[in-house]
Amino acid sequence: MAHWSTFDKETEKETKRLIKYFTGIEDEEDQNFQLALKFAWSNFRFHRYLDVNTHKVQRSLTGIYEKLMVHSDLSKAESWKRLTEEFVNSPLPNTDGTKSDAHYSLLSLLLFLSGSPSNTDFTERPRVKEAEEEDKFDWASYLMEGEDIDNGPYPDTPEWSEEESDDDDGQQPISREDSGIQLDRTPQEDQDNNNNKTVPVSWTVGEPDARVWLEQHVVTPYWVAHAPRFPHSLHLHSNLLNVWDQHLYNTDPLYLPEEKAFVTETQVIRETLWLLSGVKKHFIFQHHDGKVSVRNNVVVTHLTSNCLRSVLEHIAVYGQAVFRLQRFIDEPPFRTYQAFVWALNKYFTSFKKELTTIEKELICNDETVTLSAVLDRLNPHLAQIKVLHKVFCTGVAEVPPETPNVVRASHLLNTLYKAIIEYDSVGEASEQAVALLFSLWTETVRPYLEIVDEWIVHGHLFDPAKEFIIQRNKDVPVNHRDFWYATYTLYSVSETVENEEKLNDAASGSSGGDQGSSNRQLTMVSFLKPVLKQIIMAGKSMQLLRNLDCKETEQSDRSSRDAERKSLYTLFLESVQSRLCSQDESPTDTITEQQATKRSLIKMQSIIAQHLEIEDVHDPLLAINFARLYLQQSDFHEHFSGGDFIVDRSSQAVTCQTFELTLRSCLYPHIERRYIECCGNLMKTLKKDYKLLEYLQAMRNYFLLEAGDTMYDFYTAIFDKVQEKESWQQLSFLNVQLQEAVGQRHPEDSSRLSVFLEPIDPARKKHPVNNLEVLTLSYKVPWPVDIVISSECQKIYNQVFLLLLQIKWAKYSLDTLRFSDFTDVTKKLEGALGEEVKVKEPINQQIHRMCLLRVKLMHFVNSLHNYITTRILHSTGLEFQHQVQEAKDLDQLIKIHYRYLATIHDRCLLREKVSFVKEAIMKVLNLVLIFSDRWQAGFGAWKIESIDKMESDFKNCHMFLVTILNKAVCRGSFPHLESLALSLMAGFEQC
Amino acid sequence: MASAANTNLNAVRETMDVLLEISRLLNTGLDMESLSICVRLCEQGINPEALSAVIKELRKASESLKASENCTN
Repeated sequence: MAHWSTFDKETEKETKRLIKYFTGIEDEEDQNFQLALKFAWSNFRFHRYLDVNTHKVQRSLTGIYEKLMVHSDLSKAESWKRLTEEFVNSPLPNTDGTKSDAHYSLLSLLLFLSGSPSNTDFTERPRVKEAEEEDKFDWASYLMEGEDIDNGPYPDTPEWSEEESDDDDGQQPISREDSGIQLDRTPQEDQDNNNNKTVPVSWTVGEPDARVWLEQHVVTPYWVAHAPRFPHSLHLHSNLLNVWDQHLYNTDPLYLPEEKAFVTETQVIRETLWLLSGVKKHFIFQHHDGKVSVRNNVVVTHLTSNCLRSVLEHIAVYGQAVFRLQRFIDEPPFRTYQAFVWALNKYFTSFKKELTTIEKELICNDETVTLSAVLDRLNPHLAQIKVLHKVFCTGVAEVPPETPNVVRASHLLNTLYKAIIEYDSVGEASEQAVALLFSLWTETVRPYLEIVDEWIVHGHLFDPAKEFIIQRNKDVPVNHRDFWYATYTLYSVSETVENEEKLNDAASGSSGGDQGSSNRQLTMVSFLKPVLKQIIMAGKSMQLLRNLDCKETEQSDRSSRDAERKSLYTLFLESVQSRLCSQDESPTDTITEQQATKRSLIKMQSIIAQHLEIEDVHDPLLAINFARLYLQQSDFHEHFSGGDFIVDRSSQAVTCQTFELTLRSCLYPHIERRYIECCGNLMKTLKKDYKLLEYLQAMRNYFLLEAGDTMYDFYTAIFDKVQEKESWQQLSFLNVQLQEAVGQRHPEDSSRLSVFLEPIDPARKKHPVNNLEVLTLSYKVPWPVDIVISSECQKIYNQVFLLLLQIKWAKYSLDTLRFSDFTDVTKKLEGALGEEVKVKEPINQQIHRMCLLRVKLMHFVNSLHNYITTRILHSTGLEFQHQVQEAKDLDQLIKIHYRYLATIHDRCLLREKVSFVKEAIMKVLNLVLIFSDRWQAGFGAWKIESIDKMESDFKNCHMFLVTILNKAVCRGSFPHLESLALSLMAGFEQC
Repeated sequence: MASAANTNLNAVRETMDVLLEISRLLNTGLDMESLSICVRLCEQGINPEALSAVIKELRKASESLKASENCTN
C-alpha cells in the first residue's frame, strides 16, 4: 500500500505540474484546478484504452515515413526515420534499456498529439538537429586543425607600423606567401580543386570583407603562450622541423618534445629589423641587463631549431652591439664624447633608413624576402656595426668610470686613430671600415680642433670639461715670471714615447709641469703629436701677446679679420674635401693605372728574379715582394711629387699612406701657418716693443764687460782701494762707484743695475783672489723679458763676471807695477852699502828674477785674458746674436740663450768637471796678487826663498795647465782651447 | 562514478533532444518542459492515449476558460 501511495504521490505531483503547465493555474486550491486534477486522475485511472502496442506504434512510424515520402518531403522523411530510430535506441531517465515500452508509449503519445505533420512547414527542424550534432562534434575545428583563423584579441596587437595600414586594399587574401615561405602545391590542395586558399567554414558566418581585412592587417599574436598555429604548407620542405623532431623521437628514447612557440620567417625578419633599429621589447630576442639573448623555444617550421638558433644568435650579437651603442648615445658627458655620439647618430640614422626600406619591401610583399637575403643585404652594415662596437669597447666602454675626462677623450681619439691605421693596413678588404672610421674620426676630433683653434687664435684655452691634453694652471697669472714655464700642464704622454717627450721638454724648456704619472697608462693624442709643440708654442705665444700691450694697428685689424676667418676645423674639412675630390676627375684612369701597375709588377718581378739569381737565390716569393716594394715606392713618389693622391671620394677610402698624408697635408699646415704667424708676432713684439735685444746686449755689456770703459771705471776703483789696503767691501761705496760709471754712459741702465755683497764660504777665503767672490751684480729685467733673462741666467752671468773680474784684477795688479820702484832701491843700496859688493850681486839678480817672473806672469794673465775676452766671449756673442735674429718662437729664443750661457760657462772653464783647471788658474792669479803685493812692499820685504817659491809654484801650475790643455787639444774635443794652450806653451818654453 | 553519471546524463539529454525533434516534426505543440512531464508520466505507466486525451482536454478547457475570462474582462 505504501508503495502505491508513493507511486501515486509521484504521479499526482507530475499530474499537478501537467495541469499547471497546460492551464496556467498556479493555485492548487483553485476550483478549476481541482476539477482538472480530478478529471486527469479519473482519466488516468479509469480509462478504457488499450495498452501500448509496440508493433502498432512501429507501424505508425513506418506509415508516417511512407506518408512523408509520398508527399515528396524527402528531407523530413529522412529526419523522421533517423530521429525515431535514434530515439528508440537512446536511454530514458528512469527506464533501463532501449526500445522499452516507455519509448513506444512516448512515441504513441506524440503520435496521438500530432496534428497533421505532413502539412506543417518542417524545413527548419532538421537543421536544429544538425546543429546539435555540430555541438557534439566540432567539424570546423576538426577539419581546420592547425589552420590560422585569426581569432586573437585584435586590440592587443603590439607596435604597429604605419606602413602596414597604408597597404592597398586590393591585395590578395592572406596566403602562405605572407610567411615568406614559397607557396608550394601540396597534394591536399590538388585534391580540392577550388582555388580558394582560405575560406574556413566558420568565417562564412561573419562578414567576409571584414574578415579579409583583418586577415591582411592583423598578425597572429605569436607572442602569447599557446598561440594558435598559423597555416603552412604540408610539403616536406616546410616541415623540416617536424621531420627532424620525429627523427629525434624515433632514435632517442629519452627525447622529450618541448613546448614550442611557432613563428613565421616574416616575423623573424621583422623582429630582426626591429632589434637592429634599437627597439627593446621583443618576443624572439630578450634583453637581460644590457645583454641580448635568443628565446629558447622559438621555432619556424622549415628549419631545425638549432639551425634557426645559430642564425638568431648571430643576429643577437649585433643587436647587443646596437643596443650598447644606442644606450651610450643617450648620455654623453663632454664635448669629445658628444661629437663621437653625433657621428654615431649620423651613422645610425642612415642604418635605420636602410632597415625601414627593407621593412617596407617586406610589407609590400612584392617579392620574396628571406632572412638570409636580409642578412646578406645588411652584411656591410653589420660589419660596420662590428667595427663601431669594437672601437666603442676599447675607446669608451673599457675606460674605468673615474678616469679624468682628458684621458677618456684622448683615449677615444687615439683608439679611432689606431683603428684607422689598423684597418688601413688590411688594404682594400676594409675600405668601408676605414671610410666609416675616418668620417667618425673627423667628427670626433672636432672639439679638440676647436679648442686648439680658440687657443692659438685668441690665446684663450677654453676647455670647461677639462678634456684637452693641455690644461691651464689657474694659479699662475699671465704677467708672472713663471708664466712661460708653469702655466700649462701637458697630460697624456704615452708610455712608449715618454722618455723622448721628457727629453724634448727639458731641452726646450717648454711647459709641461705635470708629465702625467707614469704608473697609470696614459695615452697621447697621436694625431696631434707632430704638431703638439707648435700648438703649445702658438697657444702660449698668443696668450702672452694678448696680454702684452701690442701695437694698436693690429688691434683694430683683429676684429675685422676675425669675422671672415675660417676656423681650423673648417679649414681642415675643406682641405680634406678638396683632397678627396681631386680623384674624381680621372676615375677611368685608375683602372688603366691598375692594369699598368700589374703589368709593371710582372716585369719588375722578372728583373728582380734575375738579380736574385745572380746572387744564387731562387725564391719567387722574395722576388715578388721586392718587386712590390719597388713599385710602391715609385708609385708613392709619383703621387707625392704630382700632388695627386688616389683617394676614392665616394667611399672616402683613405689608404694607410694617405691617411697620414691627409693629416700632413690637410691639418698640420694650418696649424703650422698659425704657429709661424703667432710666434712671429710675439718675437716681433718682444724685439721691437719690449727691447729684448737691448736687454741681452746690456747683460753682455755689464756682466761680460763688453762695455769696457764703463766697467773699467767701476772695477779699477775697487782695485785701487785694495792696493791702498783700504776696505772696499762696503755696499754704499760699491753702488756709488757703479752708478757713477754707468750713469755717465748708459743713464737708462743705472737704475736697473746694483751690486750686492754676499757672505762667502770662509773655507774659500784663504786666498786674496777669492775676496772678490762676495760681489754680486744684479740687473733688474722687466717683464716679459725676464722670461728669457731669468734669475738663473743672471747667476751664470755673475759667475762669468766674477771670473773676468778676477783676471782683470790680476792683470791690473801686474800692470800697475813699476820698475822705478826697483831703481830707487838699487840706488839706495848702492849708497848705503857700497862696500858690501857680495850682497849687491844677489840683489841685482833678485831684481832681475822678479822682473822675469813678472813678465812671465803677465804673459800668462794676458794670454788668459785674451783667450776669454776675444776667443770666447766675443766670438760666442757674435754667434748668439746671429741665432737670436733667426729664432722663430720664444721657446727657441730661450733655448738659444740658455745654450749661449752654457757655452760661455763651459768655455770659461767654470764647469764642475774641469774645476781642477780652474783651480790651477786661480792659483796663478793668486800668485800674481801675492807677487804684486811683495813688489810693492819694496826690496827689503822679500827674501830670495820667497822668490824661489813663487817661481816654482808658477812653474808647476804653468806646466800642469800646459800638459792638461795640450792633452785636451790633442784629443780634439775642445778646439777653442787651442789658442790658450799654444800661447801658454810658448810662455812655458821660454822659461 | 561521477563521470559515468555524467555520460548517462548527457545521453538522456540527447534522448530528450531527439524526442523534442520528433515532437516538433509531428507538430504536437509540446515544448521541452511539457515533454519532460509527459516522459515522466509515461514512465510511471500512465497510458499514453489517456494522457493525450487529458492534454487535449486541458488545452481545450484552458482555452475556453481564457476566452470566458476575456469576455468577462
